[in-house]
Parts: sequence; structure tokens; C-alpha cells
Amino acid sequence: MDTYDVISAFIDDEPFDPADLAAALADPGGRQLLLELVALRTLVRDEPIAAPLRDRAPVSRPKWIAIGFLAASVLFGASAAWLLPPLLRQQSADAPPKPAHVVTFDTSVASSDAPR
Amino acid sequence: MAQNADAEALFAAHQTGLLRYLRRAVGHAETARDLTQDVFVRVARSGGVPATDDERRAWIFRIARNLAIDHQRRHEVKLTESADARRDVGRPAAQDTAAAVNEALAALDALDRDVFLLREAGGLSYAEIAAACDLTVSAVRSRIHRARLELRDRLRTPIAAALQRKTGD
Repeated sequence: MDTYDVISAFIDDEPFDPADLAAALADPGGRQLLLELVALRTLVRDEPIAAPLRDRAPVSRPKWIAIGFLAASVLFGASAAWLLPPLLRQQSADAPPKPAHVVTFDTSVASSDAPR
Repeated sequence: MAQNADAEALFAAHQTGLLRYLRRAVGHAETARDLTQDVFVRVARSGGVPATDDERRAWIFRIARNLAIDHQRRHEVKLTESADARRDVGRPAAQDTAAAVNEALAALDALDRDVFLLREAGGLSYAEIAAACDLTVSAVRSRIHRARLELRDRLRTPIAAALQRKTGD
């Protein structure tokens, strides 16, 4: 078996003579070939992270509008939840306090009782 | 009922390898998923399943290969994206690599490519590939050899980058 054959058999899980493999890997070229064939396998087996452009389904506009509306609603709700409580507290601080005592004046005093 | 159970077990055992093989064979993820389903529809409808694991794998991948060939004949699908698509600005490096791999595969002889993909993507042994493609084991070995050397030559840059990533991990 030559270097290529034994390294191929090794990475393909096919039968090979271990002495041939040892001889092949003793050579820097053999080691480089092994690395490159393993890297080639990785490239072929790897699925692309994102689908190729022509694989992508066309995006319909109404879907984006709905997503935008939903995002805006969530943002508005969050903003309201964050901003409203302090505003409400501010309003209650400006309001007059509740009276502790209520004093009433009796204006129905008789004129004869007035000092002369 | 037992036949359905067999088909389900086969689906569970081979769907990943089939999908990976078909993804590269037709160059299109969605089509590969559809064809994988078609393989198992055919398996479920078939009268009988081969007795041994090796025979079953070869049989399933032979069905997959035939479906891929039929699909390509019907749709004249190109494995590579157009040159314009490849020149897209801001395209992620992973997509460039995937496109380069597809392009290099497309440049191979059709049978060399099938044999190579059945080994690398499908994970079949030389004997299983020989059974799936009606070849001798020796012919399989030499076709894989030829395909690897050609791909190694065409993909020098992505291979070097992959090695650098691996050693950098």
C-alpha cells in the first residue's frame, strides 16, 4: 500500500497494515495528507451555518409588518410600565395633603351678641 | 405493522446520513429534506427489506442516489450557485466555503462525486458503496482516490482555513 492508500484506508475504517500506516505517518508529507483529508471530510460534512441565498424562502411583507407591530406593542408596553409609575407618584406629590382637622366657622351669630 | 416499524427504525438510523448525502448531491437543503422523505416512503411501500445492516444501508442509499439522479434530470439542477450570487457583498465566510465545496463537487465526474459523497457524507463502507453503485470495491477505492485528490487541489484555501481553525481551537 502506498502512502495515500493506507491513509485513506485508515480514515475510511477499511483494512490496512499498521506497519504501512506507521511508515506513512513517519513521513511529513503523509502527516500533512492525513490532516488535509480529515479537513476535507469536515468541509463536506459541515452544513452551512446559514442556508445559501437561493435556499431561503421568500419573506412576505405582511409577516414583517405583523412582527414590527408586535415588537412596537411590546416596546410600548415596556415603556409604559417603566415610565408611568414615577409620573403617577409625581402627580400625587403635587396634590394637597388630606386635612388632619376640619375647622368650621359658624357665621349665624346674633347681632345683639356683638360688642358695642 | 411490522413493516412500518421496520421503516421507522431505518428512518431513525439513517436519516442524518441520507440528509447529509442528499444535501450535497442535489446542492439544496429543502430538496434534500423532501428527497429524504421520499426515500422512506419508498422503503415503507417496498415489499421487503434486505436482511443484513450492510445490505440495508446499501439499498437505502441506492434508492437515495436514484432519487437524486432523477431529480437532477427533471429539474436540471445545478449544484453551484450563480457567479453573481457568489459575488454578493457581505456574504458570511461559512456560505463562501459551502459554495466553494458545492462548486468543487459539481466539477467532479458524476460517478466519482456520488461514490465520494456516499463515503464522506453518507458514511458507507467501500463494500456498501460498491453494492449501491454496481461497482467493484477496487473501482470504488480508485474513484474515491481520484475525487479526493481533485477536491484537495480545488479546495486548498478552505482546507487550510479549516486546519487553522482546528489547530486554533
